[in-house]
Amino acid sequence: MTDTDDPIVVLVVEDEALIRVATVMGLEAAGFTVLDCENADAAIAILEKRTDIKAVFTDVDMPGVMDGLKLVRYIADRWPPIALVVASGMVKVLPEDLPAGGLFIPKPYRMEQVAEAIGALTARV
Amino acid sequence: MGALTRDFDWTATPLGAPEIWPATLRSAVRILLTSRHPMFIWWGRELIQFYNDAYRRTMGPERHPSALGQRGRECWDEIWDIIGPQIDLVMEGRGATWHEDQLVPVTRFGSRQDVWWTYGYSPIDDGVGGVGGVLVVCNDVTQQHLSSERLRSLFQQAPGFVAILAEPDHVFEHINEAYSELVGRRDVVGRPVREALPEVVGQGFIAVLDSVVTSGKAFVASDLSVVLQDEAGNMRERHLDFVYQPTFDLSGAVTGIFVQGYDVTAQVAAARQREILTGELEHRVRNTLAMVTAIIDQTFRSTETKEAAQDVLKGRVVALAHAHDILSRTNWRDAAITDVVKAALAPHQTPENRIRLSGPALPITARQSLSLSLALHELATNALKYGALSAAEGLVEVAWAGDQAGRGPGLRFRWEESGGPIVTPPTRRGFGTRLIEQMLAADFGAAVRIDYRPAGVVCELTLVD
Repeated sequence: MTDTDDPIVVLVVEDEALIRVATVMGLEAAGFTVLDCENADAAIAILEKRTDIKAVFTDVDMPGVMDGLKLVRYIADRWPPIALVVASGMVKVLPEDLPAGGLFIPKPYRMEQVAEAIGALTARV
Repeated sequence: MGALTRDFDWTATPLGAPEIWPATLRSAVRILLTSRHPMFIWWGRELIQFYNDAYRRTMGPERHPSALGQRGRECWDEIWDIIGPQIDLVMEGRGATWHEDQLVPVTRFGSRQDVWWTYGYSPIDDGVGGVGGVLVVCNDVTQQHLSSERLRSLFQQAPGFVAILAEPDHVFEHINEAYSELVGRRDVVGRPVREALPEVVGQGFIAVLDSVVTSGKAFVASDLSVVLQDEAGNMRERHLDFVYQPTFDLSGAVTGIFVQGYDVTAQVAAARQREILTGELEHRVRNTLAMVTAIIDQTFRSTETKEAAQDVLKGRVVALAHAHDILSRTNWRDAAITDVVKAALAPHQTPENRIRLSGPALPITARQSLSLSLALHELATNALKYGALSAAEGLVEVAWAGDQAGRGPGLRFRWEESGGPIVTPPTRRGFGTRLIEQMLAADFGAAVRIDYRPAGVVCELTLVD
């Protein structure tokens, strides 16, 4: 990121409110503009309205029809340019479970890790 | 016994002196006394008795030496219903008898003992065309009987299931109790496996048995799933550890298959249950660690000095720990909101009880308990630092209401401070505030409002329609 750019918009999808709040605040502190929601359905609703989202950071284990893995595959099909980062404390996510270019971060994670990963995936030339 | 027999006063018996005995009796007695096989003779209508040393060893002091020269009926009254008819048969000239491993309980060495005999009664002719007496040739087979009985009973009661199949055709020869239970107590002995247990044919077991016979090699299965018909006629899946062990004759041909194994269905189910529980625990631990990591992250980010951060951090982690205590007690099921609120506020309660609680013991979920505990901790910490609890006269009223089945959506909850210093709204919304709002809103499905009224902070959880 450079000073002349607008902040990069990231969507955080996490059902655990405490972790969501901390992640949102951590990413804000790293210079991102952050939107958040607590499940896949809400994430899709936001993505359908906003065209400026450059990255989605989602938990895997969430209640609802679609978990985080299904969500990132759906996003990769519908909005291919969006960078995707997946976190999970329950399942070990293998590269082949993710769409091409997707990243996995095991929980618990440090905010720096997440900010760096998203920064690297959304780095502008 | 030779000396005893010679010295006995036979003239006191119906037989009279030995000199006048029929030749057949004399030679029979001679054979008896010189044989080392247990033998016994009854002679004449009175069944006067002779026996040898080998036989004597089967008797207790109750009968030896009184049995010599005694009348049969007097001597053996206690078993006469068994042997009487057999003696009659021989004496009446209707042939000889043969009994294998027969139970004839007799009194010896002070008690009535179960004794198994293999014996035959044969006629001794009287020299004038009739039957003069009965020659008994016998063996006490009690030891053999008991040891084979013991083996049979071990086989029957073995904790594992056992079946013995005879080849060809895998015909059930013997099964034990556990095997009988396994196959739903069906009548399988004497029948080929494919007929007795038709459900296993389609599961490939006949082919396995065939290959054990042709290869002569054992088949060992571990945790193999087999569907078998139970006693009620239902098909049930069992998990079995077992072996098909071929048995051979002297030429090396397979003559049978020894089936032995254990039903491990219960163990498999328990192991699965354990896996689920371990997975669940793993998830909770990771989730808790993720929460703690998030708390640490934000605490250090939003606190000015290291010392302050340490205190705030400790307070937050302890609040989380208290909430976990309650959840451990309820086994991560619903907890009473009263207990959760009390536990969360206990560390902040003043000696004058300036935090006042009122509300019914409604059930809330594990997750709601966690977020409410953390939210209350944040509110109380703020009140202590800047709000009502920082002043001597300040009060906090915590009140809630809802319907019993509510679990959140029906819940109304209010935190109201009064009597503290004049409140000025914070310039930026910190972690604590955002935590309270977002956690409660998400986990209770409610609208959360924090009002920085000059008279005191009000935090309210209201229904969303």
